[in-house]
Amino acid sequence: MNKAWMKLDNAAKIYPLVESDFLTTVFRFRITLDITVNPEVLLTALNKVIRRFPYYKVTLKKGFFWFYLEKNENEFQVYEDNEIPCRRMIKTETSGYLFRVLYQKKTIAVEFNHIIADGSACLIFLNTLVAEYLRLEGIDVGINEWVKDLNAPVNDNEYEDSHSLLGKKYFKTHNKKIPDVKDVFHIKDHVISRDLYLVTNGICDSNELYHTAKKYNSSITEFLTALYLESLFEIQLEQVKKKRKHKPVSIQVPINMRRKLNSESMRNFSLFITPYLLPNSNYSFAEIIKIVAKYFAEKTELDNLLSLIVQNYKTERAIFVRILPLFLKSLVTPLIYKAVGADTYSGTLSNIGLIKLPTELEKHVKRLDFTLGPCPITKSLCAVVGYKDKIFISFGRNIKAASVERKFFRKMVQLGIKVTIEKYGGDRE
Amino acid sequence: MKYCMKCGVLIDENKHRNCPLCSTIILKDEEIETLKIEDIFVLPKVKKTNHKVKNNKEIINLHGLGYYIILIIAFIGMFTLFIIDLASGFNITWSKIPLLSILYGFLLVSLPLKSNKKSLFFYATFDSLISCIYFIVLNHFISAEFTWAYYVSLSIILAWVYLSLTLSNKIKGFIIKFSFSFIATAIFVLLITLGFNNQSAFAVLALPINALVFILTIIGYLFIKTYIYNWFIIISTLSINISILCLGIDLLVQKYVNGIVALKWSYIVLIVLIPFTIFMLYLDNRYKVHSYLMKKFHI
Repeated sequence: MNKAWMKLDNAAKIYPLVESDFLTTVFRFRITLDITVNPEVLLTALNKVIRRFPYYKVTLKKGFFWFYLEKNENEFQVYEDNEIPCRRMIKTETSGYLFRVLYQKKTIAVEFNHIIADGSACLIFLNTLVAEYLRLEGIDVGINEWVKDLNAPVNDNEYEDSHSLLGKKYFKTHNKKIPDVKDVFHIKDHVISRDLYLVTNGICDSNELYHTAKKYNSSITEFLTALYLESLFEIQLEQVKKKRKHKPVSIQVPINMRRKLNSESMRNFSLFITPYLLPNSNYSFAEIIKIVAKYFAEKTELDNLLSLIVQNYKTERAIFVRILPLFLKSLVTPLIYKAVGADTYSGTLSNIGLIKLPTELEKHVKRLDFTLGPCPITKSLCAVVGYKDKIFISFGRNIKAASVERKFFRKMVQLGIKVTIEKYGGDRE
Repeated sequence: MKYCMKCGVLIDENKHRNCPLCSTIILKDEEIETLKIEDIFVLPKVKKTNHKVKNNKEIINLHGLGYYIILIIAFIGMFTLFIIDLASGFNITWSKIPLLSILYGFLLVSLPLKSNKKSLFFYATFDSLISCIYFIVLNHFISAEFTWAYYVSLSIILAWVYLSLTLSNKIKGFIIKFSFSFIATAIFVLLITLGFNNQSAFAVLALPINALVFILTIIGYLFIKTYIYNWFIIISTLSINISILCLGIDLLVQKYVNGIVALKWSYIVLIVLIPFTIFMLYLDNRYKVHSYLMKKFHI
């Protein structure tokens, strides 16, 4: 990092205030290679790659009003991937860094705390790391939009807090409140121990999924969101017997803003939309898809997204938020996060999209997995990534029953999509 | 790869013994070949039981019957008392109170038996109203004044407010309901203290304690709602709230009674609860604390 310290970006400010053993604000990407990973080479690759990503060579510090990021000179470590995924990032365990690099047989994984970056930025980092690892192993690998050139200088725009910049820019023109659904349904089940996080992966053919989604005139994200919504809607019908107690069901879907607003930021730059279903109605799957597609079309219009950015910017700039000392913010923010954040969605579905790696890299990368960290309020999260001809759908949960994923994948099968299921780690010796 | 019979998804039998979605057993080919009938788990047969379902008409008839039985008993009792009193002195004197009490008892229990279609809120309102009237009239019969019935009626009205807030579907949200309870309690205490000689008790003692309970309950509720999944934080919050409440009550009582700001008994509560709270907070952050201690002390 060129600067000695930097502010957290607009989206990141809330994460250190709410993170805990239960809500880790950590997500992971994992690449499976066709060769066995050598941890020493991996560490060398990491030390080389980090020079191209100086904004991640940071540690979190407490200020009087806000947390901030400070340059971290501690040595890096790579860790064996034998613990539960998306564990809380404890400073003393990670030498103060807000990400960790993990390896296991043929896999390389990175776990990022959302404080430093979002999914797309993290994936670029992982791809660049794997590319450099392969180069050190004697395999020549090229670059593309998902792999950074290590010889290119660090662009100042990569440090950018695009949220705040655009919020400031469009403050006057897009200062309208975007209504949101509130007090939604959450799965009724006991959260299991903080030492457990259960991940179930579903793998399907991307063409099959694409053509099935097209039958309903929808994109893959819309199709999967509709399936997820329908699954949660049915779970509510099963769990809440009294109709008057039924609540709306909604899904939080992150939208990558980089392409839409031409940003090169390597920090957080995603917005969230929350398609929802109102209770006390009977929806067919086709109707749900229509509702979701309509919602996506409306909410992903640039004007709406800019208004959302301005809304977030306004919240951060509110005078009472700014003047509240950090220790009070730490007490109050989890309550507010629950009321105006987590209470507006019943689950999260994050689709990174289809990843196209450079040809040489693609030859050695067999598989790509994406997992979202636990949330004790929604209790179920879904992460999707497409690679080669496969779509990898990963459900994480911190409850015992796999009710959501069971419904979700059974529906996929009923719609004629072949799905292969696997549990993280398997259950045979 | 094998298909799960229930889910229809493909599962790698070399990695999984059970379907990750429904736990259905997934067997390898060699396991299927060597499978014996004893290995298959057979669910025990569920005994069918014929529960007699009472039909609604029967229940309604029983309710009606109960009402008429009580009506007859009450009528006989009242009539007998009335006749005896009248016959003994050609006047109604001592029988006033038993007559009134029988009528009160009858009204109190007869309505739910007469009809089960009314809401609980209706019964609570009716019974509270009847009780207030009964105690006021009773007070009048006994001393021809309105003295103790004032306190009893106020208490009944406060209980009715609490009950209505709990039963009502129209007022939604714990915080709104609890705010109404707080206002009702404050008014109740104010009206009660108006009957005392030293009326400063309300401003100095009752209102601050009431406000303290209100604030701590709201804070406790918000924390419990937010951290419903985390018992350590819930217990710590309750423990901190109880400590603050005890401290506040002790200080207020000492100030009111002795005119000094001092702790008389609450420090005992604090001695117990502070270490307990710290222990709970430690349990909640144990990984972080362990990691920190390991680094600092090279454990």
